[in-house]
Amino acid sequence: MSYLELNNISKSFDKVEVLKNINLNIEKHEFCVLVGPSGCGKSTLLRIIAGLEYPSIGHLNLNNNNVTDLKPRDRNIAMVFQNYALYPHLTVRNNMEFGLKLDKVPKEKINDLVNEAAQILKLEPYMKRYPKQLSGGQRQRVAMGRAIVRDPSLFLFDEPLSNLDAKLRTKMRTEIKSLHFRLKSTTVYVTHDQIEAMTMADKIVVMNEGEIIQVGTPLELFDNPKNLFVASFLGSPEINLLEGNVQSHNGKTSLLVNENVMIPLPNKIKLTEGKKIIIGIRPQSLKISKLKTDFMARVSILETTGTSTFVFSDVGDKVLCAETNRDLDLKVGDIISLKTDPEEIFLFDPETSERIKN
Amino acid sequence: MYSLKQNKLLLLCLCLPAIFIVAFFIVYPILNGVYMSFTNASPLRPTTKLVGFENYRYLFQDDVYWQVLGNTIFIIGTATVIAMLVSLGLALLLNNAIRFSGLYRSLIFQTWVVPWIVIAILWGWLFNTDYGLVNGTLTHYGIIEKEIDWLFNGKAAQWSIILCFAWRSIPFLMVIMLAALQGVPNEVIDAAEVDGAGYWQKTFKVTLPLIQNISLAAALMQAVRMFQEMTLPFVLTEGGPMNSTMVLSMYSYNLAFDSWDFALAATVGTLWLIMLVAFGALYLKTVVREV
Repeated sequence: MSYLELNNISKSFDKVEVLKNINLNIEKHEFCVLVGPSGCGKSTLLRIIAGLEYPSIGHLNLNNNNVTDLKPRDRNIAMVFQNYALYPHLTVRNNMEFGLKLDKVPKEKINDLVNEAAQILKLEPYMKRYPKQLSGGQRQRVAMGRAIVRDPSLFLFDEPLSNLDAKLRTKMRTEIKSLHFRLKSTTVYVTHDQIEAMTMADKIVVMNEGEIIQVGTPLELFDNPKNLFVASFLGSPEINLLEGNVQSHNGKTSLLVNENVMIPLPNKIKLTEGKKIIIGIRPQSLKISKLKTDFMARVSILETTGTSTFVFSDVGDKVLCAETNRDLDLKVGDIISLKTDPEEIFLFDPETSERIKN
Repeated sequence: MYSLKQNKLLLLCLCLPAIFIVAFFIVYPILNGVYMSFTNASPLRPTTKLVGFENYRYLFQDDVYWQVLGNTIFIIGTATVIAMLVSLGLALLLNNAIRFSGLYRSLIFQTWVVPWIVIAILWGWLFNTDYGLVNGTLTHYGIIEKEIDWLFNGKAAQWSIILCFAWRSIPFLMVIMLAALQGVPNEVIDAAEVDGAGYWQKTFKVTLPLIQNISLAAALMQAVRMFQEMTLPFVLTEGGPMNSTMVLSMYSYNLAFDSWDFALAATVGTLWLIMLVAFGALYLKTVVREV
C-alpha cells in the first residue's frame, strides 16, 4: 500500500469535467511534483488532496485511511499557497502558532515548536513583524514555517514560488528541497514550471486537460517521453520538432524534411517507407558539424547564457535550437551544418502524438 | 516626462475651482458658525455683539442640553451597535452564497434609497398605538396584553427611534461589509481551514479581523450621518415626550428656528463639531488595527 493513494478521482464543476479518472500512488517521504500547463487540473487535484474540494467520483487514502470525506482539519495536512495566504492581521509568530492553538497544543510546546521552525527557516529576527513588513521570500518562509510546526502527515505546495523573482525562486527551490531532505516529509508540489519539476521532484506527474499523461522520475520522463506533449513540456529550451516522410536508402532510414534536409533516423526502429512522422531532437543533442551534412540551416538568433550558447537557426519554415559551446565563432546569417546522433532522436506518430518505439 | 508639479501656477489654477468650492461651502460656514457661537446673534436683536464664552457657560449649566447630549449618544450609539450586528449577520449570510443572495441584497438595499421622511411616516404608522402593525402583531400573539404607547412613553419612544435609525442604517453597513467580506482572499480562508479552523473560528479569528477596519470606518460614517439627521425624531415624536427623544440636530434646529437664537444654536453646533472630531480621531486611533 502506498502512503497516498488516489483512486479513480474525477471532478466536475457543473458540466465541466476538470479531472478525469486520476489514479496515482505517492510513497512515504516522496517529493512528488504535479506539473502541467495552466488549467490542466493540477491545483484542483491538490485541493482535493487537501480536502478543500471533494471529488465527484473516486476516493483517496492517506496512510491507509480513507480520507475522501474528511475535512482538511481531520487530515493532518499542511499547505503552502501561491500567494502565501498569511494572516495579515497576525504577526509572524502568531501566524505560525495559529494551527497549533486551534489544536489546543500546550503553550510551552507551541513556543518550542515555533522557535525550532523559526530557527530552521532563519525567521528569528522577524517574529514580531506583520506579513506586510516582510519581503516575498520571507513571507514564503513564514508560510513554510506555519506548515512545518504542525508536523503534518503530508505537505502540499500550490505553486509556492510563482510570485518570486527568478533569483529568489532558485534560492527558495533549494531551501524547499533541503527542508524536505531534513524533515523527510511526504510532499505533493504543484507547479507549471518544468525546471522546478525537474530539479525538485523524486517523482513527476505530467498532467494535461484533467488527465495524467505520464508518471516517472525526472530523468525517465526526459529520456523517455511517452508522447509529444511530455517531450515538448519538459526540457529547456523546448525540444525541436520536425515533420517529414520516412525514406530508405542502402538499408538506412532517414527523414526527408524538404528537398535540402535529410536527417538520419535510428535503424532499430522499423518504419514504413513514405510514412509521415514527427521527430524530436533535444537542443543538447543537436550539434554543429564542421563537415558538410544533409542538414543545413541559417543562424537567425544567438542566445548566450554564459555557460553555453543557444543557436537558433532556420530550417525551411522551422526554427531549430542547438545548445553549443560558448566559444564557437558564429554570427547571425551564417550557414551551418547540423548533425545529431540518430539514437537520440524521438519519433512520434503525427496522428496519435504517441511515441514510436521499436 | 512633463509633470504638473513643475508648473506651480498652472497647478494652482487647476485646483482653484475645488479650493473655492471647499472654502465657500465648507470652511466659511464652519468658521462663521464658530464665530457666531461667541456672539449674541439673533434675528430678533437689532445688533449683534461679541459675548465671549457666555453661550458656552449657559449651555453647560443647562440641564436640557446635557439631557439632549445623553439622548443623542445613547440613541445613536445603540442604533449603530444594533445596525452593525444585524448588518454583519446579513452580510455573512449573503456572502455564503445562499440561493437568491443577489435578490436579497437588492431588496435590502431598497431601504437605502427611500427618503428619511417616508421612513419616518412609515414607522409612524407601524408604531401607531391604536392601528399600528407592531401593537397589532404583539397583541395578536399574546406577547403584550395592552397596547404600548410606543411614541408617547419616554423609554419606548427612545427605543422606537433607535429601531428606526438602526433599520435605516442596515443596508449601507451591510453592503459595505459584504464588499469587505468579498475582498477577503479565499486563500487565507483556505489556509485557516487547512490549519484546522471550523466555520466560527474562521469567522471570528480570520474574517472579522480582516474586515474590522472597513466595517468600523463605515460605522463611524453612519453614526456621523445619524448625528446630522433630525427627520425621524422630528416627525415621529417631535423630540418628546419630555425631551426623551430630543437629539442634538433637532435641539439646535429648535434653538435656531423656534427660539430664533442663532448664537446658541451655533454654540451647540460648535460643541457638536468638536465632540465628533475628537471622537472620530480617538476612534480611528484606537479601534483601527494595523493590517
